[in-house]
Amino acid sequence: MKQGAIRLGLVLFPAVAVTASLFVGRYPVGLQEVIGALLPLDGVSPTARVLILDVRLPRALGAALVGASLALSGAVFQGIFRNPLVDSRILGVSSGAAFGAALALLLGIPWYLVDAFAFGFGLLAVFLVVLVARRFGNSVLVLVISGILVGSLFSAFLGMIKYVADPLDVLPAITFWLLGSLSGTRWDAVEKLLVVCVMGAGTLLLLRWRLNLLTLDEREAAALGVNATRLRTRVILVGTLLVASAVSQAGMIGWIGLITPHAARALTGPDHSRVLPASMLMGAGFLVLLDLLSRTLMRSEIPLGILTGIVGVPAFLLLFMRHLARGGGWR
Amino acid sequence: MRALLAVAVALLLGLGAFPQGKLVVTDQAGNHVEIETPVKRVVSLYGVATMYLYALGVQDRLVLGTFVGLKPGSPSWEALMSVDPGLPDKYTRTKPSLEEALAREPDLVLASLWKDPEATEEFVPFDVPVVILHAEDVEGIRGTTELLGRIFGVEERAARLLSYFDAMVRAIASAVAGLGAARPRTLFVGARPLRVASGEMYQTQLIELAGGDPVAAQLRGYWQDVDIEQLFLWDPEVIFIAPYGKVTPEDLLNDPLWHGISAVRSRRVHKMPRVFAPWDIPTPESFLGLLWMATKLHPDIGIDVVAEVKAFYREFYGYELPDGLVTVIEG
Amino acid sequence: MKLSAHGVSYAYRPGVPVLQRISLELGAGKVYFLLGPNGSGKTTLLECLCGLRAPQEGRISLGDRDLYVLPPMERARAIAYVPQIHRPVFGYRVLEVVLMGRAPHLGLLSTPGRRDLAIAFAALDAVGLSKLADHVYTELSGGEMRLVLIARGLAQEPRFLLLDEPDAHLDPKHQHGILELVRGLAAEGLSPVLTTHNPNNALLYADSVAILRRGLLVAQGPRDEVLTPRNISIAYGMEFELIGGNQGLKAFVPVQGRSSRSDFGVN
Repeated sequence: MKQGAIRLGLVLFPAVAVTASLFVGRYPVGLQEVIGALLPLDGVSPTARVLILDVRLPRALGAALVGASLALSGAVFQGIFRNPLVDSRILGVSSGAAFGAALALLLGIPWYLVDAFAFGFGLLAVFLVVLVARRFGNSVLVLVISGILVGSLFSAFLGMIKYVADPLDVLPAITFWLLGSLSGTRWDAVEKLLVVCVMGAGTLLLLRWRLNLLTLDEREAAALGVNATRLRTRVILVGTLLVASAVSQAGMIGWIGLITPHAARALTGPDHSRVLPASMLMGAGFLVLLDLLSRTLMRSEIPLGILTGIVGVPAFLLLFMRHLARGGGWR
Repeated sequence: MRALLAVAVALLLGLGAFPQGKLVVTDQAGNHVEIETPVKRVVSLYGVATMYLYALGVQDRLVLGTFVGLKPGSPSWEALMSVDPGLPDKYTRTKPSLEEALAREPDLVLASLWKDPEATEEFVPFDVPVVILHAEDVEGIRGTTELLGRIFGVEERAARLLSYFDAMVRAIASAVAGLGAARPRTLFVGARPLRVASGEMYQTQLIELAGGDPVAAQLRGYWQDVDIEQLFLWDPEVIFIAPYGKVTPEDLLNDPLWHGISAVRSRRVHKMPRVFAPWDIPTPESFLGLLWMATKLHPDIGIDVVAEVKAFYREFYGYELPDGLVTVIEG
Repeated sequence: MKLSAHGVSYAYRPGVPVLQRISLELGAGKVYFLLGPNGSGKTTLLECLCGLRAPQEGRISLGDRDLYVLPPMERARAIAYVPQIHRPVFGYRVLEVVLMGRAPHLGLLSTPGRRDLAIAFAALDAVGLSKLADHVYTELSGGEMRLVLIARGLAQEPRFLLLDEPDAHLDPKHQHGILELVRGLAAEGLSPVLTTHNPNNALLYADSVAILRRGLLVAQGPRDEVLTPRNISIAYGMEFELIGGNQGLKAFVPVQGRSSRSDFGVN
């Protein structure tokens, strides 16, 4: 496929997805109303206008930003850890964020600060991982093991919180948060996501070619004058910011960070200077579409985390088998 | 000969001083349970059932029990303390372990059909009878009330409780019919604004009995999370908020997004009260929940809620409702 | 500009020295062979010379500056390292692999530009693999893969090209192809340094040789001075004979016990 056509397709994909989600939803809304709400024109019922501008649009944009953040950080982590089977959860940021949210809910912290707790504890988890890893040599293997340890620790704490939580109101809130959902995404959430996404994605996109060097082994990278450890640590921190922000807004959503980079690589090859932007765009589009399904398939919402799993696993198998059949891509 | 007679008389008198009985009941799981009366020590693994003991005036026989969403130090706790000073010794926040229960040397264990159907087997080796109860809808409430009345020898009180309920239902039905008003579209939300009670839950039955039209009647299962678009579609005219959880009417009334919903525009958003237990939980207090709902759905119904509520607590719980709680109910 | 080691010692574990007080000088435009058996420390020495292992004693200098004080990028612009094996995790194409050699010339936030691409292409051309630019690296043969790594090193535009056993695991044709290439590069002003344990390759291609045994320098200097049967025998701990020499073709041949001479069938 020609690269130009691919690029065009990649840019159009999220744009079309976001536009489509303005039209689709349980409440029936027509083409005229969508256009009328956006332009804006008269003759649109107030309910429809509010729905399109204050419910569907911010939610679609939120989904796009969350999807882009997760996919980008997934691609970056796969490069850092030299392993295409890695997800951004490997360093425990999701476990930390989940614990933070559960803690906030348990302590009765006001709802608008729950996300901040999730974000903070997600970052804390990764800081701990980096500190522990530094103590023990900072190699990739040590990072992975630290990530497992810290992640498990926070998961255990989360279990404790679930055990002591009031089953009538706190526990269901925690469960709901953990399953992942974009319902209730308003413009303020979109702003928060945008800020982090711009900063984080901006940095990583500037580093996009340099990341290729992190896939080399330690000696080769050092021979090329690259301070792999420093670069890796910085990239981890930026990637974590993206994941923590996404998870704190949307709850635990997996698989996007794992699968999207594979799909991107299948289209553009493994050069990170192309994989990173491609992953972002594809991740944005995917999640917008999945969120669309989550709020329209049934009368009640299907948690997004469940949908990504249901769609993600077979998609991954398909991609993986196809690529193995072609004999290339990865070992 | 006379000595023998004297001994026989003494024996008979002695036996008569300790009236022992055997009662066989069919519990709500269909099991035949043999109980030795009088029952003096009850362990309740079923929070809903625990509240029936208070309504039937036999709370002194409770030695250990779970409650429903009860937090030590809360107003409900204080209220219960005033009718049961021994509360702290009997209260357990989570379901007690087998050993914990046995340590209290119970004559009887109450368990829930929903959550502990195997309780019967668990206690068999220890010769403790288990009565499985299922008070999750109107039929279940009747069954539980009658059953517990028989077991504790307070049939008369149980019958009074049930006829109170029947009378209330009839009164509401005729008052609503008399008004000739339509049934308002009604929604019951739980611990979160978008978490609604499904058609299979007790709250929906209450709405129907109170003269409302439950909009979420077609939802199945337990609490369901819906999208706000679904709420726009349903457009309830009255919204009830469960007593537990942190949602207040102000949360909905002040949110510009919700102004598209009739109930919010006409400010008919009400948080249900709780005294000993939340009024939407299927305990006898839910009769008051029904009453309260009816007065909110049909303000012209002409029932003095406060007077009825005070009378109910006086008669069945021996409790004088303090003014603080009266305001909660009026609001 | 010379790359030199001054009294360099290195130990992986304290008390177990792998290099002991090695001093040598690598000059411009000459093919330098580091010869020695397994465990002689030649690979370690190569890595010290690359800037990958700081010696515990002595120093490595580039020109008159300590190599390990130099900023890594500057060092990488002068010295390129060609490993024996490169195991990529992703299916990079040959050109993308070579392009990574431009890293020392690119800032942290830069992507390779047209000039970098041109240099990468030229490097690939220098090793004769321009046609394979678009192939996936892992689909190449062993010899081709090694050539790509050399091209990557060339893309760094270095003065010194340090190769770790470039002749290992290759059949004779490919071995000599690579060594010829390396010698050709020296003719263009590059200074290749390579490790090997094959004394005959040194005979054919080296300008200067250093022989190591168990971390100690057995001999160093111009090839013909250093590559004597005595030095080789000391280095490898077995007897070698130098045969030939009449038509300029020489080879070291091991003496395997007195009885095997006749088996060998060589006069």
